[in-house]
Amino acid sequence: MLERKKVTGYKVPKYPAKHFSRHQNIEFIKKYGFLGAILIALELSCEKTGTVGPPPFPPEYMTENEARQAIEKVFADSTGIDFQNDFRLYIPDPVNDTILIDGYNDSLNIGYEYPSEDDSLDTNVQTVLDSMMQDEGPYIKNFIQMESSWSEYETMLFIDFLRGIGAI
Amino acid sequence: MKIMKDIKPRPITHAALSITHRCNLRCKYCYSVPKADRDMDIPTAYKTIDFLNGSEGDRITITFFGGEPLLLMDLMENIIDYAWSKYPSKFAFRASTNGVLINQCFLELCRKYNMSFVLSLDGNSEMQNANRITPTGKGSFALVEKNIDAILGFNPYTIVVSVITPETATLVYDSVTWLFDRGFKYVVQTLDHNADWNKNDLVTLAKQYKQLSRFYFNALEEGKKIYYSPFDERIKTRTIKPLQCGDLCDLANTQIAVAPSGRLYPCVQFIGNDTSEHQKFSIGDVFTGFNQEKRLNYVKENYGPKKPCDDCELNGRCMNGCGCVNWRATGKLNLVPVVLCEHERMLMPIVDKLANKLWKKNNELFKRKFYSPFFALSSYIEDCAIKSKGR
Repeated sequence: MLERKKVTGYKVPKYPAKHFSRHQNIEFIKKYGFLGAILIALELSCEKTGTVGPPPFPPEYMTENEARQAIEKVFADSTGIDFQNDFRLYIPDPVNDTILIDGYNDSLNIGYEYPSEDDSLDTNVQTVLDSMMQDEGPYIKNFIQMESSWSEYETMLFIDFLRGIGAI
Repeated sequence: MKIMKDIKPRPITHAALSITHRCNLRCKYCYSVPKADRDMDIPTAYKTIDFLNGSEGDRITITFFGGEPLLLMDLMENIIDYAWSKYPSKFAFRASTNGVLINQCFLELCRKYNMSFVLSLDGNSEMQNANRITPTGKGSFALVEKNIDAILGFNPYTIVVSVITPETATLVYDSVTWLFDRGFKYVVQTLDHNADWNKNDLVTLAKQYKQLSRFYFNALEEGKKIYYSPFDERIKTRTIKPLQCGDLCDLANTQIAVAPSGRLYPCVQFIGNDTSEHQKFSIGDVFTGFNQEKRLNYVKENYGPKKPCDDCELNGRCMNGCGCVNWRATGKLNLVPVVLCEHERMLMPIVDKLANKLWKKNNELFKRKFYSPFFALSSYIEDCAIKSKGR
């Protein structure tokens, strides 16, 4: 007789659970060099409705507007935190320039960026931002591409990170 | 499975257009029987496009469904022409077919309109002929097999959808390996959850999966890029993220179905023959719009916790989140079929053992496939490079 039964004590698999992170762009470029950069550029810009693409279920990434709304809604609902949009942020050496990021909260030193075709962080900027994330901030999350069903999950991971380091 | 708190209907992203109830096959497990004769007429088809255009989403993928949509190739072309001329860039088109009627004319249509299709094919001749039969009761394998070269020539990444029944459980290994050997790269396989399964059938199936896990391991070791949904989808729930509400099925919400009459349904599985017996499941029609209350009730029920999965450690990894599958087998969107629960408990350890082995072996393709966000694209470029080198 077949039955419904809850599983308890399931052996945790040895292969790692890993979520796509902001580091993967850089890791990919480091590994594949110029070719990697081209692939990322193509990935950012290509239209995913072609008939001969390899993915069985081509991902449909959110547009910048959709991502902004989704990320900010999760922040507002979970933490009450608002962002100022299109904030110009100074990035210290070796960049020594300002960049425009999608959302930033000045008083908390936190923000986010969602790259689009015309608007993505270059690798130098990302490297500096990464080191700032390990240090005292500002804490800027680069969301890379997200499918809509991931947006809440990805944003909650960032919120958990910020809570973990006491930034919020 | 993580439950969304604030549930509101979202813009439609996928619509299945059942353009005809007619079909040239009589598959034993089909949910669209008995066959009625009704086709979608042109005014209803145009009205459907107008209705969908009113949805807030930027882009909607329409899948021609049936019945067998290739019985109405002219209507498909007519609909696409209308949609593209009136609403440029709003719609993309797909089709779901049993493959019997695929010919150069259809493939030209696909090329012209950048349309791909999913092929329903259970596997080798024995497996296909067991359930996928013609109205006279003959197997349909030969009718489809003759078209496979043309299908793969058109799109080597064509997705095959295969269904396992208790009667075909012993044939799974031979069928899946036949499909890959025949040149397909993507095999989506699922159970007929409505069939009369017993423990012995699942023991048999477990043996088949174990054999297939060795085949899959060897394929990846040899650098062959294959996708087999029973393995791939479950590995992804660990390497990418656990499943959330709406990932497997977002019925009545971002995904809806339209019957030939123009009635709207949560999913094609609810259409049936669209007579009064099924109309109670309808969530509106393309002429007057959604019945929002009914629609929201479906969405809420589908997003609710699945029974009895709350504290189950496989929750988030198991494929319990398809409300349509649940509904067809149990009558409730959130009550999981018994066989699905048994199947997941049997399959997950086999899949994890396979993935552990590939990870331990430091298999390069496994790492790329499941941990690199760029695999799809880099793999495609690689394939193109190999193809052009071979010329």
